[in-house]
Amino acid sequence: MKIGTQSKEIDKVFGPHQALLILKNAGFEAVDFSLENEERLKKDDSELLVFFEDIKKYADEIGIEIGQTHAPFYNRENQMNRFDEIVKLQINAIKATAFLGCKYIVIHPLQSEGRIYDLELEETKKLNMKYYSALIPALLEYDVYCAIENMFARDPEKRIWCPTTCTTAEEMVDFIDSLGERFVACLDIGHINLIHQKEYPHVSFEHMINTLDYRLKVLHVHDNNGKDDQHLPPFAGNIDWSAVVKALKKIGYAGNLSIEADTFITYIKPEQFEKAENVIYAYAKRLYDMF
Amino acid sequence: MKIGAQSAVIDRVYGPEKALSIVRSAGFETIDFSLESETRLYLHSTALKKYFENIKKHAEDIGMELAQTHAPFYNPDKHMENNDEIIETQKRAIAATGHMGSKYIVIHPMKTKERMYNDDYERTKELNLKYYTALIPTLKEYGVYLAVENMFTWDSTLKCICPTSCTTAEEMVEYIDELGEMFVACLDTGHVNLIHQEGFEHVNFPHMIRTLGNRIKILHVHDNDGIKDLHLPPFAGNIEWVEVMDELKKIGYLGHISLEADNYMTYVKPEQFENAEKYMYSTAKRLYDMIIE
Repeated sequence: MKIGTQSKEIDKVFGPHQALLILKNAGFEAVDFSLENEERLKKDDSELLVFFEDIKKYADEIGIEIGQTHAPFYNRENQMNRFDEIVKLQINAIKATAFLGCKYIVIHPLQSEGRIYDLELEETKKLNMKYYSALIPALLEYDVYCAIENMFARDPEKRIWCPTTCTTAEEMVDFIDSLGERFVACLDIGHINLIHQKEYPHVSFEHMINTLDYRLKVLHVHDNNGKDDQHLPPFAGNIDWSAVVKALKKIGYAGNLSIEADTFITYIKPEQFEKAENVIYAYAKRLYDMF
Repeated sequence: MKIGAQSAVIDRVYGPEKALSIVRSAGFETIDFSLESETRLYLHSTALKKYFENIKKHAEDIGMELAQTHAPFYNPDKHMENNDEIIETQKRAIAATGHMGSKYIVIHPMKTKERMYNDDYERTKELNLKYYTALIPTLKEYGVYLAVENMFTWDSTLKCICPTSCTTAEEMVEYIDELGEMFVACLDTGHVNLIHQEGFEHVNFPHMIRTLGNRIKILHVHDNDGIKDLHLPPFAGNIEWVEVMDELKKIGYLGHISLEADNYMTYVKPEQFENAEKYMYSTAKRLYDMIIE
């Protein structure tokens, strides 16, 4: 198990190479590499290969593992209007993941227009099967696994976070098992902490981790106050991390401990990125030591 | 018990009133007000009163308590060379504390250059008793209590942090009890975590908290890696916080959870101070919940 974090915010300021170096200097041994920059994904195949292999080469040189990548994600309207274009971009994100020497890409499930709680459950499944199935040839060709992440949505009437596509482990398992061997789970710890509806008691750390079990290959580790998706470092919110670690240990989780708390980095002066990443690393280390 | 933070770094950028407003908006209800600006302390006595009373008024308007202040502090050489001037500065800091309606001021004990481990113990004690005694009339005049803080120093031969004046609870108790009713203890959690030398095993949380007992009126809450004085928010280091909070609960600690983690704030863009303080508040709230449960 390695301790990892996102490259996203530092990459936006200094580019990918400097981002990796800063993270490595701060103590991290793995990175969740952001593929959210569409312009990079719009390159043709040969340019894509050169661009991302160069990053891989640099990561190898400085001794940091690209443990997982994060594909671009879109709001409901965008994803429906640009469906074919988005599939194409995700295929390129899969290629980029492979060129980076990375095994896992996180691609959010789609949420249909009306998908809150269990409304439009079947329609959403159909839509997602179409979406993810279109990616299978690329996943097979480039030997990459697609990690489906647990999500949340906004209840516009009650103005609270509520369940949506893949909020429950049961729906994630349904998707993953239906789609086959190229699909695994990414558990976003912070997202679980945002669901409090009494009909969803199974959206709990213990139940979700137990249910996902061997399918769980990557994590998005972050904390919040149970109300806002704050993406804070672990222990800066109210998550019971002992319960999380206990459940992960029980299923023999063998992946990385990858932090997704880059909101924290958006507050920081660029010249202090390394020191701030040191702070995130220190929180992650406390969690790592609990394993 | 309230949750507090420092004003120091935001004050340097935006001044004291905006600093209080930002910290208040982030959720904090109390402040550890920095008196590090000597320029402010050397205002004429009438202006000094007015300046700090205005801050007090602003704090009241926004519902922020000015619970504790931090006096300026100096390295051993400067302190020995300018002792009389420093006493005058600290008297002014006490007056400012009184004008702000705050009850506690933290004034670091002096350490001579030689005061490492137990070397120069008696001389340090004599110097400190003289230093602190000179402040008693002012403390009484303004109804302010002086909090003596647990300290550390640098062993330049072994190149590590080591004990000095008031590193141990025993030395703090000796000072506080000899100096009398205007003296209390400020426990700095981060400093406790830096001492690992043989012969100083009693510099640990349970022993320090139990020994200081109800003399502990205020805290400097911060975390570190056990090696460097990083002044990080709680949980960003390796302090065993469950143990610290349990011990504070056992002695019936009634003061505030006041963060002294402004080192982190020096990394933050000024336009993000409030968001960064919100994150700090979140970490403090986790501690608060441990002690309140």
